[in-house]
Amino acid sequence: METVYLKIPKEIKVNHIEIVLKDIASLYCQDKKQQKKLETILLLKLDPKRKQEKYIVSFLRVIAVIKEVYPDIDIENIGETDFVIAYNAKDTLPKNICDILEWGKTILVCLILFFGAAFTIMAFNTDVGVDELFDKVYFLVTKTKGDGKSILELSYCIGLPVGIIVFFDHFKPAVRRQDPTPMEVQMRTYEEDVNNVLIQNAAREGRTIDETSLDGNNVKS
Amino acid sequence: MFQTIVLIFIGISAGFAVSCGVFAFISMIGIPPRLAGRTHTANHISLYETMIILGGILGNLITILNPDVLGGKIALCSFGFFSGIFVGCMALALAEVLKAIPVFAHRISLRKGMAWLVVATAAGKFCGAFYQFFFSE
Repeated sequence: METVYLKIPKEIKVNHIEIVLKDIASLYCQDKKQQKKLETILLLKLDPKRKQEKYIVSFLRVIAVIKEVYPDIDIENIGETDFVIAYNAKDTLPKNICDILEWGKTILVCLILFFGAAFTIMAFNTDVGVDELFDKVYFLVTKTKGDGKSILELSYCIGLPVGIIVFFDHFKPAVRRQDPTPMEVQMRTYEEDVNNVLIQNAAREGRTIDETSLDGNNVKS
Repeated sequence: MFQTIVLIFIGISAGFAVSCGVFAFISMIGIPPRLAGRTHTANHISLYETMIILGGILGNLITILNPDVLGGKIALCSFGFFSGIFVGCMALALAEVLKAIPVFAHRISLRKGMAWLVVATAAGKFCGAFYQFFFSE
């Protein structure tokens, strides 16, 4: 009996409404001809009216659509059992307006982070009383009173950016960097968490798209 | 001479340690990923890092060296507004990290109106900050 192996990632981004197996999974089947056929099996049709929507699909749905065409094939899942299909309609606005909108949002986030980071470090410096602390250290080392703008403060101001840049591993070109930066790790962790919650919510509310809604291949509204 | 070297050494190590701590805090609390996720601009995450770095350096220079900063009302407004947004995110992110709201809601088996909890928290924070700045001595 023929066996098909499927590997599905947790999140799939699409911008067309007819989702076939090739869109969501990496397939492997020893019979290459059959693999070609399997890849074009229709999994589900999305609702074109909703421009941005996330569909949570169960692997049972995949089994059901394959078994409908090939009742006696063996299906082996080596990926996720529930996955998110994020549908984002091709933008109806002209491309340059979209670009402007996106850059506008980016600039807004940049401003928030810039002033936020400035605020955080200022709050920290004030909170722990870095000024007084440095006066004490200065007196300890030189036995004279500092004016608050000595070499010590200057070194602190140099050490700080060095520390940040080492922490974020930032000004190294991405091609030479082996590991992702902490921020990239956080970004992926966040997306992973969001997808997990989406899947669990859908399961709890019974919105997961599985074999029960197969007739007509349409999504329940 | 020897004293200067000691001072430089202390200063640089202090800066190094503090920045790692503070910026580990900023990135672990998860504000940048959240903002990037909200605005669907995750591909600009590297630019966001740059802004955090620049902001941190500038803020530090201002508090430590007390230079004359130009920019007038516009700089004042943008600093207040944007750092306010950031602190707002941070205050709720902290409560979230501590799992205060979910645990509390679970204890009193609250099922509906989670959205109102957030609105109430925001309103409370606004009232508190407003009172503190404008009415308290």
